[in-house]
Amino acid sequence: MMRTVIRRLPVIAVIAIGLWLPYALDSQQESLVTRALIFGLMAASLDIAYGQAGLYSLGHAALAGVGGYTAGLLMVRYDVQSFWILVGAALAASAVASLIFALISLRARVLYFILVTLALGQMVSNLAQQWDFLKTSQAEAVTGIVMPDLGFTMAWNPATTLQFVVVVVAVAMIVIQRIIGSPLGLAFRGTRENEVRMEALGYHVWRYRVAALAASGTMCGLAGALFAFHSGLISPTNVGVAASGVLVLMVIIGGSGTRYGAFVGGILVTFLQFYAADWSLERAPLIIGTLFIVTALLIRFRPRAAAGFKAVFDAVTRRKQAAHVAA
Amino acid sequence: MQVVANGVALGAVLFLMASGLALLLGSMGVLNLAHGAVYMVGAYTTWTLAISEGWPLIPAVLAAGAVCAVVGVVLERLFRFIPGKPNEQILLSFGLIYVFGNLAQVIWGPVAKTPFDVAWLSGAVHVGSVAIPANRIAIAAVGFAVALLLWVVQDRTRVGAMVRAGMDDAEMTRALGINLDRVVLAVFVLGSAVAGIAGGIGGLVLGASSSQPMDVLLLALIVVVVGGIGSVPGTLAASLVIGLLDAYSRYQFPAMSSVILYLLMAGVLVLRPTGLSGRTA
Amino acid sequence: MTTRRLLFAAVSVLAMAAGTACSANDTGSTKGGEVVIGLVAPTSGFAADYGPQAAQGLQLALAEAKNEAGGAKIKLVKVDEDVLDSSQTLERVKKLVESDGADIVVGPIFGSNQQAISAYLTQQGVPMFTMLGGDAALAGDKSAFIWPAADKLTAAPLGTYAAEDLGYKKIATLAPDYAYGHNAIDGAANAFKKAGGQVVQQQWVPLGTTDMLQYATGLDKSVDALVMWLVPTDAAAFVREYRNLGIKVPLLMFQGIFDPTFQAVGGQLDGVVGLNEYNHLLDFPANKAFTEAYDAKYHGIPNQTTAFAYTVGQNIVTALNDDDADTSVKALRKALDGKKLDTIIGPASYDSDGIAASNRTIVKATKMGTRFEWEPVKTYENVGH
Repeated sequence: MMRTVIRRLPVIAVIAIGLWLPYALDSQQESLVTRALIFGLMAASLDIAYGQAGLYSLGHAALAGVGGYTAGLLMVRYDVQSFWILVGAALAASAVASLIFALISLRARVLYFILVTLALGQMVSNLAQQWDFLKTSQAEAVTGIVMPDLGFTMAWNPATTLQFVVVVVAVAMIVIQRIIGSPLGLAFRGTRENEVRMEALGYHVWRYRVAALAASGTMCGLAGALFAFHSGLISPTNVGVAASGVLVLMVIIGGSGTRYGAFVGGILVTFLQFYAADWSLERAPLIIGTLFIVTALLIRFRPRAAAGFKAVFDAVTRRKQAAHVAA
Repeated sequence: MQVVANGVALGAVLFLMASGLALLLGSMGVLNLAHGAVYMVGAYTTWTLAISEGWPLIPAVLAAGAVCAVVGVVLERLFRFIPGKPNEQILLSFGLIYVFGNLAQVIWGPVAKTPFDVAWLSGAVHVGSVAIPANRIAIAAVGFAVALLLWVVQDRTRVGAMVRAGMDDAEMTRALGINLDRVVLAVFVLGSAVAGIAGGIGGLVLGASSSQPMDVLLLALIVVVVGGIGSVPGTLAASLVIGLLDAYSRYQFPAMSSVILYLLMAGVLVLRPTGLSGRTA
Repeated sequence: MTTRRLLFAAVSVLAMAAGTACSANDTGSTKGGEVVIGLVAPTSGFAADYGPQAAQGLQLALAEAKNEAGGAKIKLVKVDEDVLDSSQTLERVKKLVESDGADIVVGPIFGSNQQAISAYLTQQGVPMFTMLGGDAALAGDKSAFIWPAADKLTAAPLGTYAAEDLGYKKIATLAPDYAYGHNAIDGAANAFKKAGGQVVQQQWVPLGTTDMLQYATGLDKSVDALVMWLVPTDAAAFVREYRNLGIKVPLLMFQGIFDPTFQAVGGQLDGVVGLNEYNHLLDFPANKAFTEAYDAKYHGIPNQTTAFAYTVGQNIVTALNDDDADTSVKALRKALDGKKLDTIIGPASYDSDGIAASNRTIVKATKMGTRFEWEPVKTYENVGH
């Protein structure tokens, strides 16, 4: 029992902090933190395919976008206000989209796969730009989205929005962690490490890859819906290759294939984008780009201290993983 | 018929954009997404020399190629510094895209440069009812020349053979005593030089702008995927096909033309997972 | 390895956040006699010239008013408008309003961003003064004030002039395939039809197109003229193809082409007719004073962005003087409703919904001395109501 609580401690701590935060932040910071959490979830979702299964997809913003557009369009065009219906529809839509995405893109291997995902993502973005059904206003976007109806009275303001998103993201992250820690997750990592051996062991690698893409795409769809609710809009730029690229960067910076790396990466990059623009009106891309380059170059330096820290960290988590698998 | 001419003209521009990338991606699978940035450097350099300083066009374009070759060396050093993992390559590439784009604005200002105006290439050639602007013919000519050059290098020279060997089996190639690192450097330099020349001559139609790093990359990627990574004839064929398809779809279905393009890409890959004539990378 | 990278990224973000926190706010929400104006315009990305140009114009107007109006001091805060991702713009505007205490927003330039922040600003009761047009639906019971006119009406005189003064019967149109492109060109086309003409062909260029050849070859050459609008870079590219192909159909260009691009291609446009919202050669005393003041401070000729930022700045100062620095939408609407404003493009006014009407000028491209210019030919008044 104690062990369960300790294992769950980080999650409990994060949720507690998240619920308390609104009392410590001003409303604009709350909005930024909300946005950061949403992207954290999106990055963590991408990582199921990217880091766990080794599928380098440059088109995941489109899958998130399917969720966002579904929720947004249902609300704005068809006046659906219920959170549950909207999210359900978003999840269903992005699940279907992910499956189609997987079926097409997995025909290509390695390098081609990356490029195909890029093309598919950009296609969705162009579709969002051109197809009138996907535009609800004078801008090429779906606008006028508001926070949905929960079924019980809830006054939506930045603070309550933040608390709500904290809860939803926490639940989603638990689901993702479950997937990662399960035999399914183990299989994903197996297909990433050694495809041939997995096949030899009797795993249909292709099926696991489809599963990874489907899982990660669906969770991205949830994040996309949250994005639409929070920003009040969703546009073609949010689903195109630039957005997918930033998602991948979030995963990479945080550390792909780790338990919480992508999530943290998503939060960090969101803050980075905001504060860089705040700091320098003209040179923000230069600052961000330089940070990326330097961070990439730092791969060469593996200080012993960090290695030691990681060893401790790994020991703790590995013990958790071993315990889970044994049980 | 005009549509066909437009399509071929577009195809020539696309080929120039993509040829350097086809080679770079093919060589040991280095995920260098900064290719569009090199194209941009070529475009701006040519603008500075030919339009601002008044050089004749050909020397300006060649000089741009040389400048970009140097940029290629720098890029190769950077990519060598981060041993082959895709994550770091993507991170580095994106960083370069952001940096190059913003630096271009610092140096040349945020307003894009209009398509280069060169006296001896103005006007058009009229064949029956079809009109082809002179600058397109020039671009097509350079495109074919580049295609020929690359094909000769890849298929007929020792260096080319080494590159192909490296693409197929890097370990074995090194085991045979071939200095693959030097070959990779050569490919980087060549690919970048081609990108620079592409930017320079392509400037006749596309000018120079700070959003080219991303825009050119996307177009080049479509072409390379459809044509097959590492294959010059494939890239050429793909450029023409895509150019024609784009021209035709803009003519017939103007609203959906860009979607159709990406649909094509997906379609080709479903049918032929390694592109029209690519090597299994 | 991952840890080190994480650490690095985290440190940089914290440093930036700290830097921002230190430098930025003495939260200007002190209503005690201060009005904060937030300028939302692009300062990075492919439209990065708009931001500084707008800032120049706005600052000039505020300086002339000695940075005060209606008894309150005016403070200017600038925000980078993200031209690609509207949700980023929204986050920045939230900070502008909530942390920096903006009472009035000037801008944004791009329609997508106007749409994105309008609901938020309306809810916060912050007026949004646009300076390069906007969707009329954002005024009225939302919080926008649209200058110089609603998009759907702003180009109408071009169509009227083509039919009545030039005697054209059939035209084709060319514009980018998005809201503003449609609105502006349809405005001209509808005016043309109303004056008895026929619109025979309409070409729409998808966003992101760089190659203009097919729009030149695809033109129906039997028309009397081509009425077009494209952003300067695309317009120049199109004209290049047009001239190379030797097409003789006259061009009617809404907005002409702006500097500096115009100077680069002016030689190909001799005699082309255009319609300007702003033109630095306009004969009004206010414009003369403005161009001289601009030249004195910044050296050179002001463009439309600067000019209209200046004008909007003046309009705001006038309104604040009138209503004693009340920055609520209702008060400003009331102050401006029907009030005759002596702007640099002549007399103008806002209506009760916050939509402006102002002059338009038909121009002709000519060479004057060493520069290419759009020479004013005819003025249409009160366009937009």
